[in-house]
Amino acid sequence: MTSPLATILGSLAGTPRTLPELSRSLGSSPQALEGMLQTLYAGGYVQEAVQNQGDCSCSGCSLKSMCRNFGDETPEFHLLRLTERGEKYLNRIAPQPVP
Amino acid sequence: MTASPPPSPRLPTAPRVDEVACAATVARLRAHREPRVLVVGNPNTGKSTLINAVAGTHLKVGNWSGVTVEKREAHLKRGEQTIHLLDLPGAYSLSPHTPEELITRTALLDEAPDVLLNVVDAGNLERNLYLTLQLLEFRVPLTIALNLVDEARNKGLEVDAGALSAQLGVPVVETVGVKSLGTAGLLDATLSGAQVGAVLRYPDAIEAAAAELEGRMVNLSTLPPHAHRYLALSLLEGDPSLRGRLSATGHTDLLDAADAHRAALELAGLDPLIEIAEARYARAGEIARLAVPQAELKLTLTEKLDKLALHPWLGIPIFLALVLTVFRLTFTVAAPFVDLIGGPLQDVASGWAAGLLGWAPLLKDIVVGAIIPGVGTVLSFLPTLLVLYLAMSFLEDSGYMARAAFLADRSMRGLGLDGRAFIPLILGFGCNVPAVYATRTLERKSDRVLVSMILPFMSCSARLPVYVIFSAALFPHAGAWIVWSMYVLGMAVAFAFAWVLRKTSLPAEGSGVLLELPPYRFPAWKVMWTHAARRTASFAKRARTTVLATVAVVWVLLSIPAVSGQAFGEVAPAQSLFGRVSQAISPVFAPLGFGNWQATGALVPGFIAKEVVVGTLGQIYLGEEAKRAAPLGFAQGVEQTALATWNAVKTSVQALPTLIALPSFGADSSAEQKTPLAAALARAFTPAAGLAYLVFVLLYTPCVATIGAMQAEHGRRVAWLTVAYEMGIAWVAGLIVYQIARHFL
Repeated sequence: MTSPLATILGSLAGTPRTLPELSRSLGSSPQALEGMLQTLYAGGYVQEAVQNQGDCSCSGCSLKSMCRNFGDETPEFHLLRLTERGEKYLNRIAPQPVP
Repeated sequence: MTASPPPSPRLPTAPRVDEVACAATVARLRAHREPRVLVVGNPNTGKSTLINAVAGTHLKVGNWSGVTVEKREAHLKRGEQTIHLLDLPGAYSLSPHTPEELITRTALLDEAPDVLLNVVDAGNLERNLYLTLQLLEFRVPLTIALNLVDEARNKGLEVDAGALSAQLGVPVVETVGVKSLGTAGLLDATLSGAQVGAVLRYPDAIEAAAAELEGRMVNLSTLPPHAHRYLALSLLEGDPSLRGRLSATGHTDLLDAADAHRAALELAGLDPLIEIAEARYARAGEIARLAVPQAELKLTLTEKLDKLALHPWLGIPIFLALVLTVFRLTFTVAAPFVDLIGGPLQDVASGWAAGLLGWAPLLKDIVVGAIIPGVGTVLSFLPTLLVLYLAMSFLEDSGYMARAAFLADRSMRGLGLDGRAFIPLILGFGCNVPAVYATRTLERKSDRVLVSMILPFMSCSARLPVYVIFSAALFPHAGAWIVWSMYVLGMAVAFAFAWVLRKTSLPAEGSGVLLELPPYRFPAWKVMWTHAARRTASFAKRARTTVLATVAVVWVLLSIPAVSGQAFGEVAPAQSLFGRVSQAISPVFAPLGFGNWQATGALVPGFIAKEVVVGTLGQIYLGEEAKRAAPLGFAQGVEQTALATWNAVKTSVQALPTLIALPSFGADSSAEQKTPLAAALARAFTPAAGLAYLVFVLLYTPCVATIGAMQAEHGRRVAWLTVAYEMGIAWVAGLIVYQIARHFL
């Protein structure tokens, strides 16, 4: 039995990624990953890599389809990175320095 | 097809709750005369459609409004028995993240269900099974409706319902709710065949903690027995909404016990939240792989289109062809309206102004001789820009521009940049100013400076009016090609200069990153229109601010006599201060073929904003004649406007079929009809000189606003260095183009 959540956390270690990028690198469907990210997000293991500014809104931007920080299908997920808790968890299960 | 679990299934995980108590609960619930079936599933799995198909014409729906969602109940007569089907809001999990999930979880705890009907999307099995595994924690009989099997098959997914049933220990019925397929046997399978199923087993330490908590719950009559295991696991996960509910109902001892277990588990190196979720996701993935053994996904439309759009050899030609099509569309549809505004409407406006302002000659001079030909000429290109922006929005919102960035990625990597650097460059097609600020998205400073320095070579929309008016004047049958070649030349010069900068002063610092490609989709008309209208309005705003102010200054300079004996406002343009200064500069451009003072003079205010070049040309060439405009009556003006507008609409519509013709040099509409300014330019420039002028306008100095943005982002040195080398490159390029073109044109 594999550990999909740990695999996602490992994939985010040191490298913020979007849902489609995670999907490509892990070979899993975005739909399958979405629920896992939701769990990790709610548990405080991952967070937004870029905080959206008050005056910067994707909705009015015509280039959003090309932007790495725009979550098209899943607006709740943009560019994600590990939280301190996520890093600690990852170090605990596979002790190695997280960049 | 209905699949039932084997009689003596070798379930991968053994139930470990008190099965006797569960069985008693189930028996008690089943003895009810009116069974309650809770229909649960992920959002968009077709639950409601399935209920309608099952309930048929006997459906009687009752509504209970929620805060943002609702749960709906259908009553169904089956013989003498009334069955209640409760349609719950879609939920991805029972660890509630949304109001919908909270309502669903609350119903599962409070509605005393007899049976659960779990609707699962066959095309998205792994995602759906997480909820299924959580539902199995409730010790209530469950049946799975494997819905949307037709859509799954269209994607090449064939789910083995038997294998799924064996893994979960519950019946699985294949259905297509929208076609009522499989729905006939669904109710029987749900009411008669549903089984409690196999629960998932977690790491031993977690199982021990859960069992201890379940033991405490046996004595708490306020907690539903069918939910003990689910509640125990949720408490170990630290589910905040459940903690709030139990705290409010006085279960503090239970919460304290759960906290103690959590602390002990964490001390032992186990994170209960992640361990429990990890086990469910892993099991869901395992079951999905077993139930969908040979998933051969068919190519989606996006993948098929990308085979062409991203083809190593065809990708770039397709991109260039699309850009050419955009300009052909711009010329075909917009040109008649440009002619309308730049010709008849301007004449009518001049006539009306002449009539109204006859009492104030100086005011009449500035309005009729400067503002209308200057600002009016710039505004006449609004239709061109609107069509261009609509086409650009289509390419951007459809997902194609991301492909263009991907194609550019190969060239970009040669420059030590990644495809994301193409985004500011594409923004530069609209306006260079936001494009400079967009370089902030690039990670490395050297990349930001490099892209900013090549950005002004990307042809912004302010330069389009210059191309359009010169194309109409000098290349009436090849306008789209001329404009297209300006854009391509701008990109080529930008990439070439970037290569030079990389080799000399801004070396690459590292490799790029992956680009993501969104799926293709047909953009919403409203969104496209909003984008295009906002950009066009921004252009119009500049016309009534920057352009108007510049036109006024040029008018003053054109009105100041440079020779003695002439009064302000009565001097010929060539004898004015503006004319004399322009004459002094013009020899510099003689080798480029446009050494006349009018052409040179128009370039100077272009430093403020590029569209002012056209406005100034309008002032210089049309101002004198416009001043002599005869007053026009209101009715006469309205009649002329209506007639000219109707002609423009007719010409535009008649020219549309030429769009589907192969690109040719004869496809442009109204090629032989020239606006007064186009006619004046045709007399003043040779084709070779006109082409050199366009190349110079394309490449010479960025506008003041762009220089300001560059200064703010990268400092004064970078900004003024950019101005200097762009002037040099523009002059050399204009010289080369003229010296070559004059032999052929």
